Amino acid sequence: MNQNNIIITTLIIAFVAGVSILAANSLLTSDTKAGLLTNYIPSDMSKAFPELDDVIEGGEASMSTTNIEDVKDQIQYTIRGTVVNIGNLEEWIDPTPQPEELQKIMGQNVKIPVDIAVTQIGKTKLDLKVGEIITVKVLGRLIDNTLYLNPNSPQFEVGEDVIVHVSIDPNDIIEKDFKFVQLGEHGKFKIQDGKAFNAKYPHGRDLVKTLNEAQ
Amino acid sequence: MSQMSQLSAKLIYNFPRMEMTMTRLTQIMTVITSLAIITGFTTVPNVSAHSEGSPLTWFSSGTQSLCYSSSGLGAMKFDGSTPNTAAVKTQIKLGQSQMSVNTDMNLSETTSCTGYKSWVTSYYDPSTANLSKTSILFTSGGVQYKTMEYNNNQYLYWVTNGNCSPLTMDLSNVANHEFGHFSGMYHQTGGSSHTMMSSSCDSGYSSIKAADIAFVNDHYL
Repeated sequence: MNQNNIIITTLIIAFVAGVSILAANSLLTSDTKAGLLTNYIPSDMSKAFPELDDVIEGGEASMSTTNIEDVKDQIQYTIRGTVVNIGNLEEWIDPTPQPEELQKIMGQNVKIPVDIAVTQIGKTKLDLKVGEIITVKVLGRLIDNTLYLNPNSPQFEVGEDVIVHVSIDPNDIIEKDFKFVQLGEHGKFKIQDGKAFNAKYPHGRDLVKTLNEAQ
Repeated sequence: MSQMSQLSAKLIYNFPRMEMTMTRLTQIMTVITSLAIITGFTTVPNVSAHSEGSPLTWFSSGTQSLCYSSSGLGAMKFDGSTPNTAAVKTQIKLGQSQMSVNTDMNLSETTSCTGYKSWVTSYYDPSTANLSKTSILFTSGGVQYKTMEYNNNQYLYWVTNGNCSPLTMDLSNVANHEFGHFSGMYHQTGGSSHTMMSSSCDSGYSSIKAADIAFVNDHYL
């Protein structure tokens, strides 16, 4: 009888431990995959281009880092603002020499201007004031009336409240003083319910911390 | 007294004697408990399992040919110099070899690049944090091809020293990762257990890992 008690108790402990671990894992996984703990809705740039057949992310990008600490020296300013306009596609010429066969399938390189009215400034190396409109540009390719955004690109919608880390390309290859969102989708935050959201922070984070993290 | 209380009382009352006589039983029970807990823990890393969801899709066949653009790859700064086309190509082909040798994919270079093929080349990206991209392209006939492109920004130094930092980057390691995208895989969580981990590099890029191999082989029998 004593042996039976020990066996029963041991099995109960083992069962409870195993089930607890599995349950915790299941909860963690479902939270991560389905975003059950947030109402964060990623921005959809296709709304600005109803004339196109489709606007899609064109593949997968590989990044050296998604950590702002690694690139903050390259960030010229971090601002909070309202997206007031998304402009028409502008063609740009990538100077990379490509064979003719490849050029045929790559379509046009395009840049998409996004105007943001500055409402708050977190960091700036430039003379920037609240109320100014700055224009960052998102890159992509236009192939057969489908816009393929560069993988990892930030997406915007007119009217949304955002925080962006902005860099200026020193190479002047795409255009002079080309402004872009550093770290792509990881350098752009959509503000909802007093928090800053993006793919890396699907549950939101503090606005002040976000605005000042590149200092 | 409830049944549970009676059981507890018996256990407490009998415990001193059991300690002397049940050594063998205790060992067995310890093993059972340990096995149960270990089973639970080994099931925890769901993060090590691959999942679908990428804009990239699988090829209909694992046998694929790629064309390497010498002019495009020659625009990359490698080991401090430009052009360094042959060395760049050698490093990237190590990634092709990793995939071909370890999985059921059969990748080869083609020199007959006329017409629509999968391509390896470089492109200009203003951000040095963006190392490379593998993109999906659909022809008008609905046939799918992919391009693999490495950033030729001159502020980004491609090297062979195993580094993984925002400005100096081991090209063959990134090629391993990029050929994973080419196969159809996208970023996974799970740290260094994946060549396809996350969206920023770590030591997991150094070779294709078992979980990735299994995932690829599931699609290319």
